[in-house]
Amino acid sequence: MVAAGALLLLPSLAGAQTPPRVADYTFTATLDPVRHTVRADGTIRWTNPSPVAVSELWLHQYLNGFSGPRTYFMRTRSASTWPAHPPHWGRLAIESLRSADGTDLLATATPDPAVPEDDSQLRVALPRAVAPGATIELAVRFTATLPEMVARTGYQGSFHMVAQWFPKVAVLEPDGTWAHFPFHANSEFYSDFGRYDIRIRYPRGYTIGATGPRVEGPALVDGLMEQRHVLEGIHDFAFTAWDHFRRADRRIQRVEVHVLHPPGNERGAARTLDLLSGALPAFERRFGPYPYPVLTVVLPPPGASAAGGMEYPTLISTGSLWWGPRRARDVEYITLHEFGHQYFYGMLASSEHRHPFLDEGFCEYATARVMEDLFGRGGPLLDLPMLGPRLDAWSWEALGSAGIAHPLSLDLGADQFPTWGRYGEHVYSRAAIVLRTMERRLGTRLFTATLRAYVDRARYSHPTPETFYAVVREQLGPPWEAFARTAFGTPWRYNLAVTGASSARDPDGRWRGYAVVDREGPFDLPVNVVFTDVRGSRSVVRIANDRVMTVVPYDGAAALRSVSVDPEVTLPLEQRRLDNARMADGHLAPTLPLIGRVAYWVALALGSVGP
Amino acid sequence: MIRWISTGGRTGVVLGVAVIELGLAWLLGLASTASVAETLSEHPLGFAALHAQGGRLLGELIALNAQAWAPIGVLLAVAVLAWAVVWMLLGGMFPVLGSTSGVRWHRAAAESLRRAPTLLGLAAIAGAGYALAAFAGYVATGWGARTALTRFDVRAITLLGLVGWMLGGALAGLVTVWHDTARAHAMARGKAAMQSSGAAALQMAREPLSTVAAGAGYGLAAWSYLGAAWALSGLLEGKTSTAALVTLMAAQHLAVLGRVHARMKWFVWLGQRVSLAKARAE
Repeated sequence: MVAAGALLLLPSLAGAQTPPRVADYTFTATLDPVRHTVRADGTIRWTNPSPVAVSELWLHQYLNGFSGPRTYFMRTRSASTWPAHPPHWGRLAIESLRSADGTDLLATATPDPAVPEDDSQLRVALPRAVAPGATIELAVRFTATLPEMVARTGYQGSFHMVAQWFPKVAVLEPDGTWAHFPFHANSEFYSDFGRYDIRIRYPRGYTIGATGPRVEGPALVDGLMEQRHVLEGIHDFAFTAWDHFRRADRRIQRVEVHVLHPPGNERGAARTLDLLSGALPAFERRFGPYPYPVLTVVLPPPGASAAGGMEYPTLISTGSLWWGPRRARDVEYITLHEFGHQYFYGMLASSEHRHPFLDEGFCEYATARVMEDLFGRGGPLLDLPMLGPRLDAWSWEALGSAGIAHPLSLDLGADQFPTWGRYGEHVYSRAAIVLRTMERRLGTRLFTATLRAYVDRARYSHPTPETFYAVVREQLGPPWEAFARTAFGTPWRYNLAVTGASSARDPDGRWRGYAVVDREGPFDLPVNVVFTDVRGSRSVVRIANDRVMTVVPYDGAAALRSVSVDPEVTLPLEQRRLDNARMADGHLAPTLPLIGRVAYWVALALGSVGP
Repeated sequence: MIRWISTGGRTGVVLGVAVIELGLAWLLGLASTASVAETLSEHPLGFAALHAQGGRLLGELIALNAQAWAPIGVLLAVAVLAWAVVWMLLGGMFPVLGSTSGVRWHRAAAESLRRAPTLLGLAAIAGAGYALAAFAGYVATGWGARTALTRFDVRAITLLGLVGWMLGGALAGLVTVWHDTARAHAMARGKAAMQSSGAAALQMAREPLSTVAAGAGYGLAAWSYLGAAWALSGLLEGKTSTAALVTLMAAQHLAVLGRVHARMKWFVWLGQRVSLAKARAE
């Protein structure tokens, strides 16, 4: 079936910008699901977007990160994230690369000599310089051998997640330098917008999910099924194939949403579609239109969960337990996150290598924001009363950031974070909680408008932190720009704590005392201090919070019971909230229920081996 | 006529056992929550902080006490292990109390201790039985998963796996019934471990429905109290009013009491059964 009118598809919904066409790819790709290979040939058409003539071209061959145990990817991987080696290695082998005049470009192409034992990038010397705005066309033939599933790529049985399978032109930055880099285990990708016209050929019986709308097929051609996907305004192309996929479809607004799922997980597919029915409009309200006509969600089959949790243009992979309770919203969270990447990666194509917080952190913020929009205050992630206290999305992000013991700047390259764990806690959690802090301080409406201005400005481009800072300066003023620069661009610890609280009765019958508020870290934003007396009366004092220690006087009709600073949580980026409140000297809060609760569980354990 | 317990009565023993179990649990609860409780006692919300700010404070408490969790785990594991050893030795007193008229509980305990080698032997056999049940469950689950994987149906995979674990659970239940019955035989009829094992197996074979069904019934009764407390916690979890906290705590403690009560009744039933068999044999 052909998607109606779907050849080139960027409607005016996306605002004034039209996506640039820097790198166009036209391939015919044949999947051999027995050998786990994709043989392809076609053309790469590249236009020099910079004001500088270039005489070389850099290609990324990310798949070669999985080609052996000594590649840069494998050397930099974290044991806790990716296996030491997949049982079968993968490889991207370019068999032919010629310019339009037939010059063999492969003969002189070399990997980056600065990165030994790694050919995840290829320097291609051009026979003649490409002038600014000029276009070259390369004819290419290659074979991608997929690894057994690793890092969201490869195969598991007859299931195939075909990603990073073709040579991809690196981004030429406006200053004429190539943003090429070896494939690092912390890092994702960076490439230019263009038009993708991909014919996929595959054996009968398989179901295909791919980037972009299907505009031809599937039809039987020379004994193989063939279908064609075309889309522009994107910068990558991935597809999945499995001979057991089931499919659920729903039109949400103007978008055809397909969920490919294993048999038996109809419930997961329905949950995904229900979620997206609310999420797509919610994202559009906050971050602008989703401009593509299609979205495909892949729920990987059993044994292939490593394929889940990844984003490609109009194609995302998630994961779902068919029996998972509705109020354990892991499916929702991961789906929102990967869908959020259609904005913060897809349309705002920042370098995931150089500024990973711009896609992961902003996307994480958007995820929690929409979780709250859809599921209520806090964005409840885990809300199963019979299993204990609830966990909210915002708290999840805050706890990730709070766990940072040795802070780094958020604006480091992915390869500059020493471990995957430290990458995650900074790039995902801390970035998200910084944005949340801005929202809490500025109000949701104003901050959403600011983010929307950033999205509008950066759509179909490669934004950098400077892009965001400029929007913040224009929308919110220099103090907030300074805040953003400090929060994203420097390492920091930040905490407010009530370190002392006391009161005593004066001869006039009034109770007078003080609270001590300590501040660690750079942000001197005013906050409220709330005194509560033993009768339950509250009084609020606003403090400037511009010193490392502020003594706040108390004057009340009754003895001071407790003090809390910033009880409204306007600074969720604090590393510890527990010490934001404190009982006054001589008072203790009840904890008996905690001991009783633990005693009960211990009694159950004793009973299981007892009489 | 068979009297259940000559001194103190059923309520006394049930209460005694439950109080000892809960008392120990409270001691362990106090020890294992000391550092967390200290932090919470300084926070105005106290216990309610665990439910505040969408889990953030709870998460901070967990992280703040990260160093303490391993020692607490060891403490609890040792305590549970010690409790298991105690009841391996005293596990024979309840069938005695249930089957013998006029015996005082401390004499029953002394008799149980005297028969410790037999009880330990039975516990060892039961341990092997539990291991076998777990292994059977594991094998069945693996078989189910492999079978289901060829069908690619995630529901089938989960359910076949569940069937495997249910099989393991059912076997473990049978082992429990057998172990309790063997202890009753050992205490009431003075048999050695192997003879008691055989007698218990024979009884289960001869009266499969009554023995196994009674065991399952009493087991179900014991678990139903806990299930009720769990359901109540679903309603009250997160509610931090004094009334809610007191209600839930009371319900949970009553559930422990109910569980002990059901277990005691099962031993009484077993004791009576074995005594009758003994009388018939004589």
